[in-house]
Amino acid sequence: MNTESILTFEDVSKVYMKGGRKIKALENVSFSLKHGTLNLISGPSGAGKTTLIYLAGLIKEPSNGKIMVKGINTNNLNDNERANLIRDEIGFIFRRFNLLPNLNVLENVMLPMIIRDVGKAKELLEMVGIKEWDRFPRDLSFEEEQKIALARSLVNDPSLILALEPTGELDHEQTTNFIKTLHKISGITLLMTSDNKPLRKFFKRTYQLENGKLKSI
Amino acid sequence: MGIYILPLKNLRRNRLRNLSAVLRIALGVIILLILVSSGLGINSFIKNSGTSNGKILASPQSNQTVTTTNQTNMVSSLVNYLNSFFGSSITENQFLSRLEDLLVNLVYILDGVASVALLVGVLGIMNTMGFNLSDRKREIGLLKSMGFTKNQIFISCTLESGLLGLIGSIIGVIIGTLGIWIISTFLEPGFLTVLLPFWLIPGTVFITTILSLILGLYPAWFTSKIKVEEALCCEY
Repeated sequence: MNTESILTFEDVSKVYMKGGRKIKALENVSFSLKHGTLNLISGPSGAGKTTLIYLAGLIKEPSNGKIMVKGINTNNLNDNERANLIRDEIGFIFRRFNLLPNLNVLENVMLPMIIRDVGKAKELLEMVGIKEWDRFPRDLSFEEEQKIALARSLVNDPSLILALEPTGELDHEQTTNFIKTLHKISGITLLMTSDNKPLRKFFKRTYQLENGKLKSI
Repeated sequence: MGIYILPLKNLRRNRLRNLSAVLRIALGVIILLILVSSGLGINSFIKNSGTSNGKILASPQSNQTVTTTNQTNMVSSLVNYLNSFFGSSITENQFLSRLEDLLVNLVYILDGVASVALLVGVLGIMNTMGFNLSDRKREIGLLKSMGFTKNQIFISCTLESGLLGLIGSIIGVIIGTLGIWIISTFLEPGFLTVLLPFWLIPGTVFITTILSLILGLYPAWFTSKIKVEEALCCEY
């Protein structure tokens, strides 16, 4: 068991059936993420980035291959074990609509907390540069929303942060700010997808995904 | 913050839809209270008016009051009038026996109508929760991506329908009690009374809330089964 690896894909394939046709979203994808690294997966639309993130986040199950999170084989987990592993080890950031509209900023961040800790939630919000905790999502900009989603993804000290096109709705300056915020957080293991090539320079490892096949760059 | 606080927070959303569900439940509760207490009043009237043979408005005995004498006179004249009108020849005792049967049946009918009224009011919960939850598909997906289990989401959604039922029943009980009090003041003392026993108030709130919880089970179960990837594709 490789305990150093936070996330390991071993020959993972994902096949969808659409209109009686088999569509290969991912084909024999293998990679491993080390603790504390920022990783980017880029690729054109339809390359399989979303499928890869959903598989890594245990939202979907692979058709073939093995996915390990912190050395735990996730293939044979039942629904509750899967949910508990997500809660304990994985944080998600999506492209948009990350927050529940009827909860304020602080409540949104505290929602997934296993142990209620207001101080920690405020600390995380301060770290990402959000100081007004009583605002609601309707009053926030996309950048603020993404930063709050980042803070929320960190509340349970997860081993892995999965970010699905988090900068997709941000302009260049907002994107740079968001990436800088990611870099400020020490010790996180991040797997982010984006089709924005200039972002590659900010990441330790980048992968290119095309037609379901992953290449390390 | 936890997932179980969400039902309370979600009440602020879809206000018109939630308000309409709450009002329907309240109306059902008001009708239930009025009909059940009228039934209880009729029962009590039958018992209080009965003599040793259990018949209502029986012939006056030596120690009975002038009011009873007046009532007996009223019954005699009513029976005479009915006999002359229909050409029948029923006695006072036969008339009173039939009246008693009618009143007992009326109590059952009132209880039945009350139950249907409450059920119709509470059935709206299913509809309201179905719409509320289908509007929130993406949020359910988000909750699942945070690691909340199917059961936690199921319980949270069921609690929301229970909460709607609880609020509706409390409003209904308040308005219904006031209504019964107003009706009672207009009724002649000693004649038909409307009874509101204490147990009826918490009993109604309890039954309505439990019914709402039960009716909320299906939309909650349906919602908790949503696949995350499908839910996350939805827009608000």
